[in-house]
Amino acid sequence: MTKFIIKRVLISAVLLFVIMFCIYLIMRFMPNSYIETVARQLSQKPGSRPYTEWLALLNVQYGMDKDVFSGFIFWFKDAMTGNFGDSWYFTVPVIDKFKEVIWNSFFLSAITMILELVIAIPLGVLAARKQYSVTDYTITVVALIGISLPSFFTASLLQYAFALKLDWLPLSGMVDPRTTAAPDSFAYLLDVGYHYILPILTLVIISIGGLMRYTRTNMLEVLNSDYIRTARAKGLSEKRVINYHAFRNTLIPIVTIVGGMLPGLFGGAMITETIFELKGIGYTSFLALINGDIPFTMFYLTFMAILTLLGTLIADILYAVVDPRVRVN
Amino acid sequence: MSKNTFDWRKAVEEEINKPSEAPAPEQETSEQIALDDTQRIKVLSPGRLVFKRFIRSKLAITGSIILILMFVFCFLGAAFTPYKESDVFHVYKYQNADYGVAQEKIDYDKYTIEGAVINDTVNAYVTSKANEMIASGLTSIEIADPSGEGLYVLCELGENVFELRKSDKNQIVIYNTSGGTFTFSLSEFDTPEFRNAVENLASTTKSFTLGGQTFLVNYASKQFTIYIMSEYQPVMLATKYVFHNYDTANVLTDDYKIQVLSAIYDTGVFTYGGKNYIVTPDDEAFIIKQQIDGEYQDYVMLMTFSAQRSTGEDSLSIDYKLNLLDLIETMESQHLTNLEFTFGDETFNLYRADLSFRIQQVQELYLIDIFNAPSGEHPLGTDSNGMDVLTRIMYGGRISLMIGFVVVFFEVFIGVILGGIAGYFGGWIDNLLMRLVDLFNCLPFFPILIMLGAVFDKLNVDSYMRLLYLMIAMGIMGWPGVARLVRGQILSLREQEFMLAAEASGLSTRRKIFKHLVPNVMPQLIVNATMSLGYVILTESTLSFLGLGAKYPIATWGQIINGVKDSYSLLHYTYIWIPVGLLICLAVIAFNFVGDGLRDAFDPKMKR
Repeated sequence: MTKFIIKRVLISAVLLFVIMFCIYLIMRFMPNSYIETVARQLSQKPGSRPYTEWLALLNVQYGMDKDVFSGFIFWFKDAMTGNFGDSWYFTVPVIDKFKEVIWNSFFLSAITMILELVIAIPLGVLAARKQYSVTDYTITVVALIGISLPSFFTASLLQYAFALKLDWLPLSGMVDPRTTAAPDSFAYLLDVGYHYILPILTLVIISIGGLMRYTRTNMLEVLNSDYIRTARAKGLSEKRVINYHAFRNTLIPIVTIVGGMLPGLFGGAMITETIFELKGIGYTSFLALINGDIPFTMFYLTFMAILTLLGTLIADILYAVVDPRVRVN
Repeated sequence: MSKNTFDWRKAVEEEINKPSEAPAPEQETSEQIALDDTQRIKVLSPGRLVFKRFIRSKLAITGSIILILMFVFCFLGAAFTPYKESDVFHVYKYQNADYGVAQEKIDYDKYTIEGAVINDTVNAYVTSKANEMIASGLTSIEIADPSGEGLYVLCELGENVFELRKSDKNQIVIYNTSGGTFTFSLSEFDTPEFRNAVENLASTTKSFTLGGQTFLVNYASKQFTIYIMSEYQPVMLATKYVFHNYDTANVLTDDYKIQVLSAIYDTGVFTYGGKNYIVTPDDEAFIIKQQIDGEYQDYVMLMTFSAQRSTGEDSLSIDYKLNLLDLIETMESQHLTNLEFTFGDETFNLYRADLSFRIQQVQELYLIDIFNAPSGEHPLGTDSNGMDVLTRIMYGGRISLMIGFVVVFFEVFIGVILGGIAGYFGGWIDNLLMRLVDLFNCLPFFPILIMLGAVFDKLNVDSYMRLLYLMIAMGIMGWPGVARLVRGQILSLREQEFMLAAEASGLSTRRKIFKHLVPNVMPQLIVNATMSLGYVILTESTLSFLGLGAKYPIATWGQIINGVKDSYSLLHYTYIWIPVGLLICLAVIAFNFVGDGLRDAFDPKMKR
């Protein structure tokens, strides 16, 4: 088991190195005219550095004057120590900006995920138990609609209904701009929570379908297996068959996939955060991406790649931990 | 062993004998058919089997119908709509537009006589001094010049006309007391009496008189400077009268106006530019008549009332102005704030605004018909560019759906080749390709597309080119999923007997992979591609919504919504974004339904 984990971690480390190289390549092969346009626009801001200084700064950060490989090693060393340079758009160190916004995203995603688990898993199990019933069809259709809804449309619909027409919830933002509450007070927290309702609702609607279908498919597979037939043949009550024999086995793939989703909690929800103007990592990165903030973009791409890698790694390891049969290989 | 032995000879014999045993005529089937009769079991080709299972699924049928309708709507609908993709609609709108301004003059228009120099401070005092004169009844008043260069007097020539006169201070001589020297500027004063008078001046003297003339004295640093004041000369005319031309094409020069103003309270006759003019008083106004061929014709009217177009030009006819004057008097006497009137065959609205009166006219303006609410002509209204939304949706749907197919084609093309190679060869090739797949899976797909959009934006890439780049990028990002699927299937397929047969018949590797292995992956591929179609539409519309995908003038569904995403549009232009959003949802849902149905149809084992 330890050997398996070490092997997986090592593979992931090598993969990370290669991915970072790819990301570095993306940056290196960005059209020069693009970088120059961005630098020129930056230098026109009041109190900004001159145009040449911005380009020089880029050279220092990414070793642009070196060849691709030594330039990459130069940047890699810096990046590994957490030094991603200063953000162009936010004019603070990238890491500082990241620390400032990451928890907003985390809480948004964490609450969404808890709701998702609480709603999707029981409904998925229910749909599998009553396969081809009205309940099953309803759940399947709703799940498919959830998957198919574009996040911006869902967000717009919710904004239209709850913020503009009914005026129950705020349209966008993190807090009421007129609030007088101190940033640590309970009233402030309550205000933030109030602003989080619509984004969370949006995310739950669009993400619930996938997990629901996944649970249903796996539950169906388990319910059709021989040991469930044995359990029923033995005369166990239906409740016991479902809750003890079937559900526990369904949990194997679910735990695996949910484990893989954990790092994603830090990834933010770019579209939703942008539409609701929540200052999370998604919205921040969106601003950085469209404004040509190269240092922040580089950091964000690296960060997302690490999260995905971690997700796969956790899923693989969890799969081995949860299901003893895998451990043999 | 013996139990499982299959007597193939017997089986073949049975197989051969069967057709002859079967009753040929159809009408007899009901009576003669046997239980083990092959005719009884309807044999269907695999394709038809899948089709039969597919149409049994309600969701899949619903999805297919939605898709067919959508394609008909987008591809055939555009042929029936009377408009084109980029038709911009205009509309005549009646709007109350500002037409003119009228007011009783309260300030003075000033006309400076050519060549005259007037001190700025004095100039600024003219209006208040004139009002002071009217209040006090004086006919002339002095205006002090802070620079001391001249003397100014404002005289009333008659009602509403004032003349500013100036007396210049001319320097005669500078007398230096220490050397006793004279420096004359005006030599005609250089007489012994004058010199004598100057030599005897005390330093405190301000003026002296000699020979009936008054001289001014200034003493500073042992020097006397002697001045004489010139005669008063007119330098400026100030009046409340406004010149109204009978012929609006005429332009009056300041010089002409000065002539008129000097003449009206004087002889009433003057000549300007070789033409004779006569002034006739008329009520509270004056009419200047021009002599043409011996006859006097109305040329200019002077009134203390001004009326001009809102643009500032004086193009209203004199009749219109007089009519306006009457109307304003009516309004004043009846204390009205608003009055509608017609002049010629046009209708105007006159209303009071502070001290002036404003005239509005209902004008027909030719405007681009933006954000027009749904009507019979435009069932879904018009968008921010004045284009018909329904037509845009049809053309946009073409692009949105086409993008899906192009991207999926790219994906499948790359994925099948690389997945097939990896699965067939295995070993290090497989390992390498699969690590490549891992790599692509870890690259953040959506942020890179957004970055690409931002780069295109900054570089001003052409709309059609960026759409092409976008499709290629999405294809490149999407192939790993397909490759993984194909490889997984081929890994198990290549161990099967038919591959052994293919090997034995000495087929080429390419033929083995693409003729024998890949077709067996087709079911999964078709399901995957169908689901991908929905996903690509989703991605493209999200990108376009963010303004980073397709751009105007290309219409795609996301691009149409992009035009109405602020909270005002969200609330007011629901007729644009809700139908388009629903179409996107429907398309994606339909693709998912069909994909789901296909999966179940291809793989009946799943339907336990």
